[in-house]
Amino acid sequence: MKIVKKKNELVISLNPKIYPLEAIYGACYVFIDRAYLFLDGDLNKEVKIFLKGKKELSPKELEKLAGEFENELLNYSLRLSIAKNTKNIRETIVERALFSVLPHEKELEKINKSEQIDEKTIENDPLGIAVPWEEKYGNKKHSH
Amino acid sequence: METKNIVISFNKNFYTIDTVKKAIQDYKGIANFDLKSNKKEIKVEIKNIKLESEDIIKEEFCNYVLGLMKNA
Repeated sequence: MKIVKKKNELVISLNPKIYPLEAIYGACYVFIDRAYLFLDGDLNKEVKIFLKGKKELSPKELEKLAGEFENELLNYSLRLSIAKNTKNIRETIVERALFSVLPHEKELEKINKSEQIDEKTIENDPLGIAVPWEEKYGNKKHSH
Repeated sequence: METKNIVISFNKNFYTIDTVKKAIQDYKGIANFDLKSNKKEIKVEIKNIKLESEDIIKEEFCNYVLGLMKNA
């Protein structure tokens, strides 16, 4: 990493193989309320970050800003690497959590049985609800 | 009174045209924008800037596009 300090501005040159672009976006975003940021360069060789203070910064404040930016870059890079390494385990945990909410086999059997009972009851039709009107009353005319 | 025109060149390695278009849409109330694009960069020309925002519009616009890129 190379840092060039100008008046109220830093130019940080990074190797994109060490710091992924996503980490660069993340670190820039953290500073968006304190500085004006602009990205340029080549993704295969060198990424340049132009960081300009929103208010006038002394050389000491500028140096502090540079240090904080470097820390944030490392922070984001580490976060990304942890997220990548733990992707499978996180997915497994979510899958298990969702699976545990599903009803167990015994409960499923119970539900199936109760459904079967209901079907039988419908087949019996003790009240004759399923009998069509014509079959039950023929073609009788009703007066109201 | 005439205001100066500003040209910003966004490197396509870091900025997408959709994001720049979205930013222009959000900023159209304070200036006129002209968008051009080639293989390597997206050029935005900012014209007729409302006077009170003339000094900071370039930097604020760049920050806005970068913020959109982070959330894209």
